[in-house]
Amino acid sequence: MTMTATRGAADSSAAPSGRDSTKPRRHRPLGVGSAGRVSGLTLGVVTLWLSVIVLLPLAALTAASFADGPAAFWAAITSPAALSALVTTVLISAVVAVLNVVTGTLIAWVLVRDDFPGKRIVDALIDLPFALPTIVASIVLLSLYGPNSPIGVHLNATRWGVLVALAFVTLPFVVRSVQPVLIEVDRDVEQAAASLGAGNWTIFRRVVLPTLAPAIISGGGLAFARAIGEYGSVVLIGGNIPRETQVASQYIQQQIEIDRPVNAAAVSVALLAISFTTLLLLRFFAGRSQDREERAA
Amino acid sequence: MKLSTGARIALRTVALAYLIALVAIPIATILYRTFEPGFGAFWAAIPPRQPSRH
Repeated sequence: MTMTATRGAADSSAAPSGRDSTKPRRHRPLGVGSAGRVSGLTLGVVTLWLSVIVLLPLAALTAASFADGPAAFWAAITSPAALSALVTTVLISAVVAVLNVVTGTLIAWVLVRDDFPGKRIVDALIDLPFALPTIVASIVLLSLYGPNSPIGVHLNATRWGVLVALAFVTLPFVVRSVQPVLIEVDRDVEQAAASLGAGNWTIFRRVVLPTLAPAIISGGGLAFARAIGEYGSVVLIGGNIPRETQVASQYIQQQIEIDRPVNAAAVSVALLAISFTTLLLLRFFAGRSQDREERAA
Repeated sequence: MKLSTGARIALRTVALAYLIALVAIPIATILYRTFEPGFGAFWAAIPPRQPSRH
């Protein structure tokens, strides 16, 4: 969208052809070439930056994971302990993502469409899990659900504990994705649907939800991606019990500690592949949903 | 989309209950435990800054 705007600005300021100096000069935004395309220098800087920050470390990780050959890579990710850690991580993260989709949409709805005393405080509370270091989140949850729980609920070293910790740290993703979209939703359409006799549930399902769907999917995808790579918030409350509560990031750390870097790299690459595929699929579905919305508009 | 007062309050209650249970209560608990022995104990638990050798 930025590119379109930039290109539009470049085109609108373009002078007519010819070399008349009295004609307005052509002002191009920095980095935009004569054809309205990004210049080679900008492209080079962006590619270099992306390569140094993202691609090179990922390439090094992938190379390390295949250091002993594809068979060793496969053996590393299919060993019972690794497989169990991966399955636990993906399952709990999927549940957390679904939980976030439901509760995040609900919270965003209440914050946008409802009005009550203390709404601003509640709004600020949403960002607290992002502001807290994840290890602090783990201590916070351990103080409530740990062995000395004041309410008598003991979730430490259980999968429920991991789930609560992941739900805590991923809370803002869906809320903060859905909230601005919900603010911008055209309420006239809802009123039109209501005047045609549609009930609230029908209006939500047929009018509001399709508009919110890309934001919900994107927020859920980000929550899932964050959850499968999470370490700090689960390290204390999770208990790190192999084949039970040990998540993939803890397994990776364990492999590094016992000097098996190839195994650690292999599981990291598996996590990366799962996360990347999920985000790609969700992006595809969110894009399709948005296209459908635009065609219907 | 106009919700009835009952539905609006029900949605608000569920959303706030989730937030209170997931975020507010755990943070209130850790704050209570931190300051339960008094502010002096909290202050004493923070290690003093080491003097610079330069």
